[in-house]
Formats: sequence, C-alpha cells, structure tokens
Amino acid sequence: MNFNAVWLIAQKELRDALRNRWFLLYTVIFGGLVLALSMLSRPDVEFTQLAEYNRTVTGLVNLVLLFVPLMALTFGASSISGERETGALKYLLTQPIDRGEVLLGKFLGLASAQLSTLMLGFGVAGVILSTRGGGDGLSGYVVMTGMACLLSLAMLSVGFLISALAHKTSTALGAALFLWLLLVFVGDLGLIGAAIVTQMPTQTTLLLAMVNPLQLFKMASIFSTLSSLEVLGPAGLYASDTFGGMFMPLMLAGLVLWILLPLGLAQFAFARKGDGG
Amino acid sequence: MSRWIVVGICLFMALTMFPASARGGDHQRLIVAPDGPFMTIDAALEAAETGDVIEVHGGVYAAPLIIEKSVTLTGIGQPVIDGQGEGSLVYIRATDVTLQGFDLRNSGSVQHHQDAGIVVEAQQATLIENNLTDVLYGVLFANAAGGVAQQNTIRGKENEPSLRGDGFNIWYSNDISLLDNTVVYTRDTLVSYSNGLTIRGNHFEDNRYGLHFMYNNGALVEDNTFVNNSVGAFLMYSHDATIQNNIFAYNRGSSGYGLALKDMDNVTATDNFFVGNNAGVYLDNSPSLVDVYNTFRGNTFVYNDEGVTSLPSVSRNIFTENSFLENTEQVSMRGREILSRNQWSFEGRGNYWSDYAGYDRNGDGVGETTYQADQVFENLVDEYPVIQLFAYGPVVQAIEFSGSAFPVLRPQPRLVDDAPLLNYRFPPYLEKQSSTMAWSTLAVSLGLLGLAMLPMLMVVKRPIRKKSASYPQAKASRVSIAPDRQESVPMITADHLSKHYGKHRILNDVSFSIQPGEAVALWGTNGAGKTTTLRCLLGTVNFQGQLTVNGLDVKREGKRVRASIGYVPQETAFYDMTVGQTMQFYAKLKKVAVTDITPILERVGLAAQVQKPVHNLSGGMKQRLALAVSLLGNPPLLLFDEPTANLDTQSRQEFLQLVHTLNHDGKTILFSTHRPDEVLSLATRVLGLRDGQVILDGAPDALLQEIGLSQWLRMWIPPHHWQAAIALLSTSGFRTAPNGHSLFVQVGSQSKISALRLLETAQIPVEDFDVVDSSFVPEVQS
Repeated sequence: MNFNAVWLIAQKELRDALRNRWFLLYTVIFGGLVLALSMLSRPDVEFTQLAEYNRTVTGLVNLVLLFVPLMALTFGASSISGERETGALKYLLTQPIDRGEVLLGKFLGLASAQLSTLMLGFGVAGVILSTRGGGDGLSGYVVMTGMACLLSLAMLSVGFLISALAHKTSTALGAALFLWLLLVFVGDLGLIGAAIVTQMPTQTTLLLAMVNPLQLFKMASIFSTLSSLEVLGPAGLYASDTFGGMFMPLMLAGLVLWILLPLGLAQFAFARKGDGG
Repeated sequence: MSRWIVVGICLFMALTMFPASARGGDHQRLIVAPDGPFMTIDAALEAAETGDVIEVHGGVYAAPLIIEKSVTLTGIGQPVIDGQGEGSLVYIRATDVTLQGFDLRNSGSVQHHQDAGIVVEAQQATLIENNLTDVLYGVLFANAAGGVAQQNTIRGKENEPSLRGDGFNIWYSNDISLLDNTVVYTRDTLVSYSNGLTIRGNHFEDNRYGLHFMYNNGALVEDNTFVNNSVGAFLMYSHDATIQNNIFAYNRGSSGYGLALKDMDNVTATDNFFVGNNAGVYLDNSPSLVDVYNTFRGNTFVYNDEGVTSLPSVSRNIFTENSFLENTEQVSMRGREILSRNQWSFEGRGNYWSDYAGYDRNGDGVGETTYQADQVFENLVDEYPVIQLFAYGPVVQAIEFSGSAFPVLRPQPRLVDDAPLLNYRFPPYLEKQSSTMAWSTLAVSLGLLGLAMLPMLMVVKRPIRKKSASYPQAKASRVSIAPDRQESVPMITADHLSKHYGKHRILNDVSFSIQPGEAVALWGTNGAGKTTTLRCLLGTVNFQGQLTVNGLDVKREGKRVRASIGYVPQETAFYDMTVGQTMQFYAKLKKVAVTDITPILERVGLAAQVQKPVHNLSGGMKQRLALAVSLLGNPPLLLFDEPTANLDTQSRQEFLQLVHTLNHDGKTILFSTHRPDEVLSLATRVLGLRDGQVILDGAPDALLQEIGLSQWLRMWIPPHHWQAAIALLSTSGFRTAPNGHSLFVQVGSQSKISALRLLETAQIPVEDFDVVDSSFVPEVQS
C-alpha cells in the first residue's frame, strides 16, 4: 500500500468535495438546522436547563438520523461511479496506483469532508449549549458526536459499495436514495408493522432494529445523553438489562462493522470490476 | 450569725448537688461538655426534670441516647452522637421532647431492627436542625402524633436503593409536620396511617421514592422539591390531599413518575412544576370513588417523556389551566383506552398545549378550535409499548405525517380540550436561572470547530506559479527523455494472450514481442482488439496468458509495470484542475519531482498554459497534456491508444511529430491506430489485428500490401492540364480524383515517384504535391 498515493487521492477528493455545491449546500443546511435547534429554548428558570439540553441533544439525534445518512450515502454513491462515467477513473487506474489505494484515498477524502461538516454542526451547537450551561452533559455530547461520525462513515462506506457496484451515477444515486428511505423510514415502518401484526417479542424487535446502523447510533446517543434507555420503552429496558456494561461497546462494534464490511465489499467489487474503471 | 452559716452551708450543698444547672424560671439548664460539668448526656438526663434544657457542647457522645423525660436537648457547636455502626442512635420515649442541633452519625445497618438516627416513640417531639449521616433509617415516628421535624438533614447509607432505610418513616402518627428538611440517599420517606400531615419545604433527592404515602387523609404537601428520585411522590389510598407548589424534577427511575396517585380521592394539585420526569403525573384509579373529583390546576409539565399518563378507566380528573410544554407525549395512556372520561377544561378554561396550533379570535387567551391528542405514533405506543423503541427517529414524524395526510389513519382522540389556552405559565415561585457558561463544553466545541477546519488546511496549497517558477532552476539536469535501455530484455512480451468478455472473445491467443526502441503500430479496424491489448499491458483488465513489460509480469507487478509505461488514451478525462495542478497531481502519484514538470511542459508546448484550467484546453492541447503526463517519470515505454483520433490535421501532425521525436530519443512506442498513414509515418513495425488475432507482423509497407491499400498523392497541376493529366494517369493504371483545385492520384507505397515521372515525361507541370490518406480523397474516378 502506497500511502503517499492514498493521501494524494484523499486530498484530491477532499478538495473536490469542498468545491462541490451540493456539499456546501448540505453543510449550510445542516449547520443552519443545528443552529436553529440549539437556539430554541424556553425561559431560563431553575431545573429546566438539563431538560432543555437533553431535548436539544435528542433533537440533534433526530437531525443526524435524517441528514447524515442522506449526505453520506449520496456522496459515497457518486464517488466511484461519477469518475467511472467521465473516464477520469479509467485514466487514473492506468497510473502506478492500486485500486485499493484509489478506494481508500477516496474514502478518506470524502470521510474528512463529511466529518468536517459534522464537526462544524456539533461545534456550533456545542458553543451555543455551553452558553446555557451544558457542562454536565459534556461526556455524553462527545460520545454522541463520535457516534455520529461513525454513522457517517458507515453510510459513506455503504455508499461506496453502491458506487462500486453501479455502472452509472444515476443508478448509484437512485440506489442510495432508496437505501436512505429504507434505513430512515421504510425499514422501521416495516418493523413497526411486523411487531404489531405478529406480536413480536421485545427481544426480537430489538435485535432486528439493531441491524439498522441508524438505530445503533440512536440508542448509543440516547444512552450516552440520558444515561438510560428507558425512553425507548420495554425494548430499551431490555437492551439495558441484557447488555449491561457491554451495551456501548456493542453499539460501537456494530457501527465499526457497518464501516468495515461494506467498504471491504466495495473493494472486492471494485477489484473484480476489471473493466478498466 | 450561726443561722447565716447554716444557710450558707445549705446553699453550698445545693449548688454541689446540681453542678451544671442554672435555674431559669421553673426549669433548669444543664450543661454537658467533654470537660464537664456533665461529662455524658445520660448523666444530665438523669439529673434533669421535665421541662429542663440540656445544653450539649461540641464533642463526641456515645449512642444510644434514650430520652425518657420531657426535656429539650440543644446541641451547641454541633455535638456528635456516634453509633459506631451499632443500633439506633437516639430514642425519644417521652412527650414534648426537643432535640436540636445534633450531628447523628453511623447507625447500625440491620434492616429488621430498623436501625435509625432518631426513633420517636412519643408524641409532640420536635427535631430541629439535626444532621443525620450514614444512618440506615433517618427518623422513625411510630405512634408519635404531633411531631415536628424541621430543617434536619438526613443522608442515608450509600447502599443500593432497595437496601437503604427510609429517610422518614411515619407510622400511625397523626399531625406530623415535616418542614424544610433535606433527605438524600435514602430508600423512601414512608408515611402510613397518619392523618393531618404537613409536608412543606422539604428537599428529597436521590432517594427511591421521595415520598411514599398511604392511608393518610387530609395531607398538605407543599413547597417541596423532589429531584432525581426514582419516583418523586407516590400517594396511595388516601383522600383530601392538597399538593401545591412542589417541584418534581428528573425523577427517572424504572417507573420514573414525578407524582403518582393510586386510589387517591379528592386531591387538589395546584401550581406544581413537573420537569424532565419519565412521567409528570401518573394516575391509577384516582379518584377511586364515583362521586369524587381530583383537580389539577395551574401545574406546568415541561420536557417530561410523558406529561400525564394514566391507566385505563381513570376518570373524573379535572385538568384546567395547566401548561403542557414540549413533553415527548403530552398525555399518554397505558393501554387501550381514551382519557375522555376526564375533564380537560373547566369553566371555559382548558390547558396550554405546546403542540396546539390554534387561533384566538377574541383575545381572551382561549383558542377557538379544540385541541385533540390524536397522534398516531403515541397511540400505537400506548397500545404496543415495544414500538417505543422507534421514538426519537424520523420514522415518528413520517407516521404523524401519514396521519395528517390521511385522516382515516388517525386514532380516536385520547382527549379533547375544548378551550385550549394560548399562553403557558411557569409557576411564579421558580427562580430565574442565570445561564452559567460551561467552559469545558465550550472548549470541546471550539475543538470540534477546529477539527472542522482541519480539512481546509489539508488542501491548502501554495500557488502553482511559485512552484512553476522554481522548476527551471531545480534539478533540470535530471530530466532525461531517454529511457533506461535494457537491450537484452524485450520491452514487451505477449505469450498466448487471450481476453474475453463473457462469450465474446476479444483477443485470441495473441503472441508477440517488442524490442526496446521500436515504434510499433497496432493496426486494425474497430473491435479488432487494439485497445484491449493496451489495457492488458496496463494491467487494468484481467486476461489469460503471459504478458511482461520491461521484464515485469503484468499480472503480478501491475503497479510497477504501469510505472514504466506512459499512456495516452484516445480521449483523456482529467480532473477539474489547472494544467499545472494536473501535472503536479500525477507527478506526485508517480513520485516524480515537481521540478521535472516544466521541462516536460515546454517540450510538449504547454508551458504557457500552466495556469489554464484543463477544461478550457482544446482537444489537441489535452492530448499534449496527456503526453506530458505520460512522460512524467521518464518511462521507457509509451502506449498510445488512437491518440490522434479526435484531432484536426494540424494538431495531428504536430502530435505525431512529437511522438516521432520521442521514439528517436529512444522511447519504445506502441500505438494503436486504424489509419495506414500514421502507420507509415510513425511505425517501424506493424502488428495487424483482426478479430482478436495477429494477422500481420512486419514492416509498415507490408500492411499496405496485406490489406491492398495504397496512398494518395495530392497534386497541384494547372487546371488546363487536368484533362491531359487524368487521361495519361488513367491510361497508365492510376486511379484519379479531382476536387476542383487539386488532383488526387492513388499510388503504391513504393511507386509514388512513378506517377510524378509520368507527368514530367509528358511535360505536364506539377506545381506541388502532398501524400495524404484516403479520407481526403473525393469520389474516386477510375
């Protein structure tokens, strides 16, 4: 592995992302929503600060669930297929560089851009929260930020897999949007429906929900912010009781798996393509 | 005189018998201190009489202290009674005892003994300003009516909540007053079978149940704060309770109620503040009697998971002028029921709901339309609690949206408030909280913002111009176009090379070898396998057979192979960069010094375009840029895939000239083309491909003979000689084609001069001529 080449591709991807209007639009919208969410507050009277802080943070969880997968999936999906379509990738691959180096460089570059957006959003929110005395929740906030970063990387990784498999950018973007709908809405709706219709046991519902990386992020963030999962009802309590101290490591491992597995598969698909691009 | 002596002796004896007493009215004051007069409290108690005051000065005194006289014990300088982990510390067994200002610590830990700080077993006891720490139970009132506990602090043992004792345990003791006490780290404050309670101004924190309450009628619970308990206050099996001005905050245990009412009748809850609890108020069969109402007025429910939650069949609660703000569920139902059997407005005043979007036409603060709690997801959760797992996610909004879009999906409203208020209200006793800056959060947030900026720094580059300016000076001597010749090793060896896409075979058992310095044309029509051969050489596609470049196996050492190849495709797609940035990018990729860039750009004629964006370059310039990129790293082998296909004539000529020079300088050239003229002008050898097989390997002329093609001479002949020239040439077997100002004559590659000589012999002047390919030739005349 030539890390100079990886770094070079990463820099190129990052530069491209920072010049990409869609990326800037995503960043502005995300930052704006975070700002608005953080600034919403009721009159400051005793005992409300913590609740307001928690409410803001859980609002951020919701925002991340909606926004980050969309951004990461679409950018990931167009990462390879876009250059494949223009022919730039084919030309790049005629140079002394491996496909693995190209993939990793692209991933790191786009990941840096994505994480930059997240850091910006969470940084802005944190500054505002700090003016309202959010010191007690600092560790939870940091954990949530970290989990949001992992979710972003996981979704980017899935986007790369889509991109490696698709021949056209339009196909890749379509698949990415479909997957976004599936992960954010359809999957949960289906599971809710199934849980109601089949009277699904709590543990089954929980385990099926945990297949979705968005749920992993959500549960980990809520746990780190509120120090309990009671707000998620019986399934949350079951998760606390069953996993105990292993809960957070489990969530972490789940998200890391969601990063590594699709990226590995993307590399496999990209290497098997063998079509010069 | 002697009589005075007797009086004096009696007085002395009296003073001696009561050493630490000081008479005040009818009662005496006894002093207990480590250095006397009384050394122990027991001794003072022994000496005391009803109504006496015993002052106990600072020091540590042994437990248990058993008070069986109606006295007042006042601690001066916070004297300590230490149980050393055994039994209870103080027993009050006489009426009208006052215990004030003591530090009671370290009781026993035996649950069934109820080891406590203070055990009150008589009526009218008063406990003031005592500090109880590390006690299993705090204060037990058992059959001790009329007791008052005021401004005491109780801190239990830090066991699991269920293994702790109660802060206050009140049993069959009417008219007890708990005033301004602080109770932390205990199990419950448990009150049972005790009427006429007053619980005011107390602070309950980190207990299991702040207040656990049953069979106590006529209680007044006001001005208390219940914070971070598992449950704030759970009131059961009682009637006529008044609960007002209390704060229930962050009670989030496994049930996590702020205030829970079970079988409570005629309760009035007014101006309480519920914040951050799992559920602000929990209702279970309250009121239990059919002709009784409970009233909730002016309470504020904010940021609770559930503002009010209720078991099915709860009815006859009146909610008026309460404020429900931003609770995850404003009102919920545990089970398949609705809350409509409760009243959600009273005398034209409903409640404030933060999710109510109403309109106040007449300005009376009451909305003109009703508030209905008919959220789909909340309703589903009420019925199927397991799906609460999906809360805090976008799917909830999606479900609610579907309920809005398709009203048929909406459930029956759980409640209807027909006079919703437009303004919320926080209880007036709440203190304003001045925001304090959380510096740690600020520091971390600024750190995050710094990290967000980091990628910007990663891509900040010095201006290209500066680097460009330095190119000529730095290591210019390193630049050499001459490759590393390895005369003994063929530059390319293909051995039984095959490639197929599915069933379609592109290359079929192709074998050839190219020596260093050769300029070889891969000739063939479209689909012959030219490009695929080049891709195989570059290792960008899989193939069968053996392929080596410069002695390196393409399959195993693809990257090293590509490092020794400069490649120019038919159509190059560059990134959105300038010429200089593009060169730098590929130079770094090939690990070539950026100082090599300028000489190469100069050589291909792009030095002046270094700042120009690539997308602004013409096709010819792009091909030159591709050639410049291919020359980075001084590769010995150059591959061209129909490099002039998209170029105009002049650009093509210039490009071919460049390639010719490179070959002359020692580069091995392999280029694909379907143009015979390029083969003839550039190649020293031609490999002809057809249907994936080599059909020709020889000198360029062999190509013309093989495919029966020849070249065309374009001649400029004065027009009045055209007829004669055409007749002469045609007669001599040449094909001709005039285009209005010049004459095209087909000639063999070895017989170009014969046509010219024929015209010269016939004295037909030829002013000029050119060798062109057939694409220039108009319709042929035989």
